[in-house]
Amino acid sequence: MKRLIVCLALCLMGTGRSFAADPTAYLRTSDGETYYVAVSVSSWRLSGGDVKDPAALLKKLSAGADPLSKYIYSKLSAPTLELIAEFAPVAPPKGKLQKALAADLNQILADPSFYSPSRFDGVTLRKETADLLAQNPHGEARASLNRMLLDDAYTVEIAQNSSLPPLWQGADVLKRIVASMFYKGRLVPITIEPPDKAGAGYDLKISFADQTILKDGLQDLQIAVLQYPISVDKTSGFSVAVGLEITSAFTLNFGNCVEGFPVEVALDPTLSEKTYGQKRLQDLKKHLEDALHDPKQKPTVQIQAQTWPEPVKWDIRSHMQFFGDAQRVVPCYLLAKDPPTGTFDIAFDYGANAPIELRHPFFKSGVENAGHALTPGSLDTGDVGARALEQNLDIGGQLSSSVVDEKETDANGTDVAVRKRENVGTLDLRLAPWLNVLGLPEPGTKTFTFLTPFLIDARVSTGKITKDTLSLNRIAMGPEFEIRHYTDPSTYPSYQRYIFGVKNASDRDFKQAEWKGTFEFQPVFSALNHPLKFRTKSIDPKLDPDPDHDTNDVPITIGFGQQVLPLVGVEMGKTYRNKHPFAAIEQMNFVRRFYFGTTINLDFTSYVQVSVKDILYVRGEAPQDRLHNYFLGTISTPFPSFNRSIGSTAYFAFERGGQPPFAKADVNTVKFGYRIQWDNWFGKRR
Amino acid sequence: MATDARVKELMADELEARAPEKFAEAGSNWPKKMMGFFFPENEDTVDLCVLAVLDEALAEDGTSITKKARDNVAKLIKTSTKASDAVKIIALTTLKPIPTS
Repeated sequence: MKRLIVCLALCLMGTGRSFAADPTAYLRTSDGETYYVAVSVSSWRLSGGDVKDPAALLKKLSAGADPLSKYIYSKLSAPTLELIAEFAPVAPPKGKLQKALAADLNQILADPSFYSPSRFDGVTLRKETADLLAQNPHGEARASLNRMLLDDAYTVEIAQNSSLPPLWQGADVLKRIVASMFYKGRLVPITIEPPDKAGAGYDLKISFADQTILKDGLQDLQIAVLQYPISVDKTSGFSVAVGLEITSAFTLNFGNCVEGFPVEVALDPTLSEKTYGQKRLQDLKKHLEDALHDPKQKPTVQIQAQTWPEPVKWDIRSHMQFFGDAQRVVPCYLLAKDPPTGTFDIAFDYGANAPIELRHPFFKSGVENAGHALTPGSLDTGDVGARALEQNLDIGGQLSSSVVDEKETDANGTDVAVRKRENVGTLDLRLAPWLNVLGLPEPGTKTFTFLTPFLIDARVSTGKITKDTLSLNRIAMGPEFEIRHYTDPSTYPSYQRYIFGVKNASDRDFKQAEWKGTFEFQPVFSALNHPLKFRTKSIDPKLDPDPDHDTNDVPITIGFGQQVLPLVGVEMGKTYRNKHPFAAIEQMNFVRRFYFGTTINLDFTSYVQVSVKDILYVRGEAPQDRLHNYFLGTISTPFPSFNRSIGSTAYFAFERGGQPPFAKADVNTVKFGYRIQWDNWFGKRR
Repeated sequence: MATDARVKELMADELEARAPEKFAEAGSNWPKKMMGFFFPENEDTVDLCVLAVLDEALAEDGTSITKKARDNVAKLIKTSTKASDAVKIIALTTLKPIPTS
């Protein structure tokens, strides 16, 4: 049927040219209940195609051939001037340039001071232009006059639009209009009237008595203007769908509405005349406000969790905040009780009696509160109490096989050292329910501060603690504070991490314990920080028929990346419990250590990462055993994530050397394990 | 009360200044890219960028928002957020509360 209407309209079209701008038809109401259609036709605005001879126009403008051309050229925007600079006169100008010129000219025409006698000196004005100029009109009528002036000045370069005075100039013009309105192909009785007042921004008003045709929305409504005067002796015609000047839909959560469901009721940004829309926006805001306290008008809310067979009715709170400006009103709806955990869909329905702008269904799918997933970037299974902590829970299980020297008595009764292999299972746990309780950088600064009020960093193993398994049986806990300053916050950033901590460290059985203050400095250099996971490539989803579709950015799987992360730190403290010291633990009353080293992460593909860490410890507490080197080599491969917040990795590692609290024999271990990292608990990320 | 269009301009300026190579690579398609395209795997640099855009928009309006709302913007915009959505979130956050009758 729509085809029939369009055909009907086109077949009856006059021989005139097309309109300068696309005609529009908007549904309006003056009392909130009786609707009519406002049709804008003879817009003074130019479209790209109205710049009929852009090469000739550009020649005049850039040469400053006359005062008007000089003035217009001085008002062109920087992007348009850039396009003009790129324009080669030998080739036809691109549509982009035509559009840019039209947009700039529209801005210029909207300026009431466009006309000045000196600027139009030498331009021959038509009689109707001169007549309208003499009336000194305002508002839209002024802009129409400006377009007529422009047409008179550039008769060849610009498509002539305004040989007819605006319709509000006289009822005689209105009599030349023939229009029909169709609802589902059925003719609807209408009355054609002039706009409410001169210069109101539309050309004719179509009133209709049967308001029931709006009950299903506007998609079935069509206006066919069969005859429309475009000059003194010519007519044209067009067919146009009816729209709303106000849109309404669920929008994204924002700073002042994080937990709620914001609905954006906004003016169509393409509107040229906003007076009606702004008033209507206030009416809608009042309706939304009143509806909360009126059970008949309150929106019906339904929620369906992914696992529920049926949607469930949900209540909303009667109190909410509104945000907005002259262009939009955004109420932030809050649910009376928490929504279901996981992913769910939500729908609002304002009912059949709501204002037509709110009568359509509001639907949001896949709502969830999951945060970002921090897939383990590097596997740092180093010193307990000094490891990076960026997930709420980081738990791993591993099997270690270490070589130890044991003394045995041989057949001659002599003590000899015998190398033996010992296998143990180890649970590796890092837990921080609140990763960060501090806020974000102040405006203009590039320094983050993080305070983790409490963390546990533990590694406990099966079997009895010996000097060889001591480093696998340590528990450290306490708060941590970090200052992270970005000197280069670019794609590959440079920054410095200053990490301060107060830790209580003990063995697994809490028989020997120490407290210590720690400080570590970790500079990250942009040039040395290019891991493979930073790189992506764009894949074109070829099955998507939308020519404007998005590309998918996926991580590069094959390639090479590198990350070099130096560190330096100190630890100072005191041993305060030494009730039943193990033979493996060196007797000492204080802690005084300095260390430095580097971690190098190499990505061979996105599935295999090799990490090498080497740290040299300088012990102030044991002059006779001052230096210990620690080496850790790891090959890891990420496993599929459980969900957005939980990632996992399998790894194989080789560890050799001494670590605090430095047993007399260094560790020499081969390990393989599986590690799970989980974030998005309480507090903020770190 | 910055418009979406103005916030989009501010975001383009910030991205061009902070991640020039990635911005050039994205071209006119930049609003469709995720923030992680410009600042991969680093929530801090995403925060610094979006907060700079937000602060600039608020300064142009001559207004301010609560610290909590500002923190929420950084919480809502992550490496996995599309740049166009980031623009929308910032523009909505600059809206003033309207008194109810």
